[in-house]
Amino acid sequence: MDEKAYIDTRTQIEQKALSSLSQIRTVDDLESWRIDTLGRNGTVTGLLRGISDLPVDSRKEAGSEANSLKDILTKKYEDHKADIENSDSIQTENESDFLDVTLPGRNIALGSLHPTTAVVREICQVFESMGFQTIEGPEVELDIYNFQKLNIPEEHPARDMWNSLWIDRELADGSRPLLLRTHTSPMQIRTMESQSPPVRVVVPGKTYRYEATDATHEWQFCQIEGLAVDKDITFANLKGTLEEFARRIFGDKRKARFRCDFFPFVEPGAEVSIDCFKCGGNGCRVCGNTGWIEIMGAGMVHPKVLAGVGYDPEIYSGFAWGMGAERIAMLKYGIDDIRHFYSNDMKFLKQFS
Amino acid sequence: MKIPLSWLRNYVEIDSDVTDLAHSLTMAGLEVGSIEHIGNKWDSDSLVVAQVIQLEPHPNADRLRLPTLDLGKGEKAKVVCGAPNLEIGQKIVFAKEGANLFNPRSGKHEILKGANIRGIESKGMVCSALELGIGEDNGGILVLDDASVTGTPVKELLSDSILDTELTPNRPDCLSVIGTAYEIAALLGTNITKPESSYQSGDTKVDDRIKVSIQDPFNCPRYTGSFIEKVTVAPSPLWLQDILVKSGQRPINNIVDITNYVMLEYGQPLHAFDFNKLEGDEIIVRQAVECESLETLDSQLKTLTPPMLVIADTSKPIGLAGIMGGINTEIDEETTDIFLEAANFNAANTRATRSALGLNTEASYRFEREIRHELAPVALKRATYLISQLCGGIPAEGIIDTFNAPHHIKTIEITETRFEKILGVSVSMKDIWNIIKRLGFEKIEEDLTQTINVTPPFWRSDISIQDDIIEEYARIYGYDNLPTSNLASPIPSQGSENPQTVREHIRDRLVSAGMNETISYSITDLETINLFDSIPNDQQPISIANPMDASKKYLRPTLVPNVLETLSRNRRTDQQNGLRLFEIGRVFLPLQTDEIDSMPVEKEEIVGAITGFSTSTDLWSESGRLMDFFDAKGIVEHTFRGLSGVLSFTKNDGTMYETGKKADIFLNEVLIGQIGELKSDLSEFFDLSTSPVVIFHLSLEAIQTVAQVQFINYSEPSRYPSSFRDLALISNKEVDSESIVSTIMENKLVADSFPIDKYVGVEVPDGKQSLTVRIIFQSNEKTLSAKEIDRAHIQIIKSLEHRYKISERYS
Ligand SMILES: [Zn+2]
Repeated sequence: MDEKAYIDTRTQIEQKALSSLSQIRTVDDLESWRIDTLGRNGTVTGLLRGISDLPVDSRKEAGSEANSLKDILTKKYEDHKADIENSDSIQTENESDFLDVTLPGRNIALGSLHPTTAVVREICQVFESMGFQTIEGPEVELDIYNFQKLNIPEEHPARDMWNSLWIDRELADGSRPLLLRTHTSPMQIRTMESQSPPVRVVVPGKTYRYEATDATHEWQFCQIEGLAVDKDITFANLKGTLEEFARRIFGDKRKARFRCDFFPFVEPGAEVSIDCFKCGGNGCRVCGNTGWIEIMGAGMVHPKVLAGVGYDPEIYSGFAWGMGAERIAMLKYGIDDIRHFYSNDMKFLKQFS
Repeated sequence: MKIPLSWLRNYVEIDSDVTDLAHSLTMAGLEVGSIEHIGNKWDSDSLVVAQVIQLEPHPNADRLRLPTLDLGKGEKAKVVCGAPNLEIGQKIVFAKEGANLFNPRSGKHEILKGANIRGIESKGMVCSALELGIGEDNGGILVLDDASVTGTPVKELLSDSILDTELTPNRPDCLSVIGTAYEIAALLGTNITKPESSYQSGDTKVDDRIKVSIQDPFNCPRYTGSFIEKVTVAPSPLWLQDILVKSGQRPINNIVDITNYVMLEYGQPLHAFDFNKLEGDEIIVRQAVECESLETLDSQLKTLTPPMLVIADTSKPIGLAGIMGGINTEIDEETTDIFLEAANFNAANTRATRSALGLNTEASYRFEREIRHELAPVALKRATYLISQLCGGIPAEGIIDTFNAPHHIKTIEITETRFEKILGVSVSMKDIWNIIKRLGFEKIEEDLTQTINVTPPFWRSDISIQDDIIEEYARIYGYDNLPTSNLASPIPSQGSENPQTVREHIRDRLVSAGMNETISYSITDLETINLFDSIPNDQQPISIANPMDASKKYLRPTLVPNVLETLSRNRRTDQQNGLRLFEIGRVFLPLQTDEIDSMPVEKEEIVGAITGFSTSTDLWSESGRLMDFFDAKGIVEHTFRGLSGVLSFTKNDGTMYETGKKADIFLNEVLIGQIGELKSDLSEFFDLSTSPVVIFHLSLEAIQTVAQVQFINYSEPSRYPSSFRDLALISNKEVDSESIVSTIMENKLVADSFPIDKYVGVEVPDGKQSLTVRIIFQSNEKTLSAKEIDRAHIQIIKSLEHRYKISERYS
């Protein structure tokens, strides 16, 4: 044995002794440890005896190493002995010979994502996998972006579709320029104004309506907008993309249905429904006996909207959609009252961990 | 809009089942919200038309009578009846024993049984509208049209289906029976029959009796009128009353009912004035003058201001244009001569006026959706015809047509290429034309080539460009019949910088640390805002002009109260468990400029709060410990692992925190937020004083200036064993553990070091503390000898002594 091997052995003895010591809880076990380590035939005593096997010029160094180990372990032994003697010697379940394996496991604090966050992420990931980029926009919007550039002029009856909460600020002509955005659609305009085509974005975010709250209506909710614009994007692409989305979120067997609907910023416009996953289309409470569940509005971007942001509608076309995240979450998880989402009751939230 | 199927059948042949029809309409954009079936429970045998042929008094009751009824086919019946309006010769509905009828007394449908009424056997009964389930009227029996044939099953005569359509704002043309009939014709591939409207006029010429001047042609592009004399005002014939009731209108008198009928039929509102109540012989369409007032037909006095538009005679307003008539020229039983109006009013002005006056009517609803002025003379003639037929009136020759607007004849070029570009499938012009012609489109060219020019029907105000016609084709053809394909164009390039990555990393880390995410409302009240100095004193938070709840009208400038409110609400319902929650959301800072397009600054904040026991005290395995500053700090540290930047905490008091229990949080020298124990007055305000509340409040914007989601920086683990020594130190209380540990870490042989015990008490002198630190020694080159470790140990103590006057406790 040379000096290096001797120091390695010493370190191993130290590690082993300290780690076994740290697990000892009883005086009896501690006494066995002392005998195994520091006793007459113990490992440390053995180490000290081993000095004589070393070359003469290494013995002094090795002796000091071994003695320091003995000192350290002796001190540790005494500290640990005091600890055990002082602690109330409660025998915990784990130390008995026989575990009651039916006792509940130790509690681990359970965190949870808000169901709106969870569903927004899931939805955005579906579209991200189809090449859409997730972006966000302002919650307080200009009337120009929330309405006018979306082909909804002032005093247009279509404004009744979006009852607004206006910011208390008036211009000289008495008009109010700012409001809490009623939909995420203004981001269609902001995106197209800030870049040239092709565009493929998905925009989640909070939206607000002046609306009484009931089991299916909240005045604050989260919407997810989408927009794809390029040279050869068609209504067939709209159908294909949104059908694929419906299958990925609601299951392979889901069928999507498209019916004509009106939104001033798209033409043609559509409402997208899926066949009821609860009753399979026969009619039940979930689908209001129609067999179909409405999940979003969509359509081809209106040529006026494209022209308004400087895209030539003769060259470029695109589609857009908007859906309510809470509505999707309600359908997915079977939540029957939208008011749960912002009541933030832990008994509700923790179910989504 | 409620539309009886029987009325639609006057204009279009419908051979499909009503449920299928409703589905087709819904898919094409005219959503049928519900279908009301009238008489679907009626039994053909037990409910028949009968005629009263004899009427005798009841021997034992003054109010009851004994009609003898002819049921047709030689069958007769004699029953007891209490209705006061029963007369000999009337055609009525007779219910035989076993008929299923609505019983107004029990409120349920019941099977009719024979009964003995005051000593007379009565097998069957004469029915009221309410008992049949076709109206509210139970005052008397339902009297049928004289032309009804006795013995006919009532089901054939009176059963109907009422479609309730929910229309999008672009389709005012479908706020009419004929507009809806055009949709049905296109969907079913049939044609339209238009109603009769040509009438015989008298000798009087309309221009000799009345003149119309339009002072505001912008708000009144067209005004048509007719004059009808010698009318007899009376209740409408039964068929007209019936159709109005089914359509949701209340019958008033024949004149008013006809104006309502034609409004529903064509979608053009009309109004009849009692001509003899007008002053002068001139109708003036003008803006109201300041403080002028008008009592409308619903007996409300409305104060008017410009630019509200009124219909006036030479001295006073007599109607609110496009909204409601005035009570001063109302049609009543004395009326003999009427002036009938069918005009066109500006959509935006009508909308502004009705919303200012809170007067939403069938007329304003249609005008604000922009109906076409070409409709006015069509509807006027139809109503004039009906008045001459049903009210005995004599129309004057000619109509007034004051007209300042261009005709909506617009030619739109449509091409097969555009259809293919938008729909993604090639469509032939022949197929396109076959669909749109049934909607009323006309074409300019004789032949169908790849490009043709068409004119939309004048009543379709929603069609102005080719893509509108593409939708017409697509919706009638059926969206579901169009092809489907995935996006094929190349994916646009995206930058590698995604601002959400850091935030989502933080969100995930908070959840993995046992925190529950919450989302609260962005609007709050001033009292709550003022508890926190989130905005400068001289600035106001952004407020809502039309809040739903007057006390909550401010956009939150800080997220802290929201999280505390959520914490408080949950503490109220759960006193037992520890609460750990957080929210990530926007706050809104006051507007800084008056520029027209200035917008408030929106910043994202991350706020977490914990309170209560770290684990449930009620579990067998746990002893329970109240969460404190270091639990929250642990969560923050955990959260920032995996992000670039070095986190550090510096003691610094803050207004909402307990003195001495708060730190500023830095990421690479950049202040990113605060952490600390909530001040007791705030805990009390939020009803959270049962256990300490520790919150952390971070600015995402500040974090993003420094942090990126870290690329893993790999280093080879040491192959040599480590050893540790515990070092008990006595230091001044002001020396924090971080300074001590970082001094220790400066030594090259030290791989790690951390505090394992902290003690202040009898064995430690005043002003001092004892801190025990574990030091892990390890080298990448060799196994360290005890001598080398001892040497390092001595060096460490020397530098601690030198820098902070720290000594070893047991030396
Ligand atoms: Zn269902």
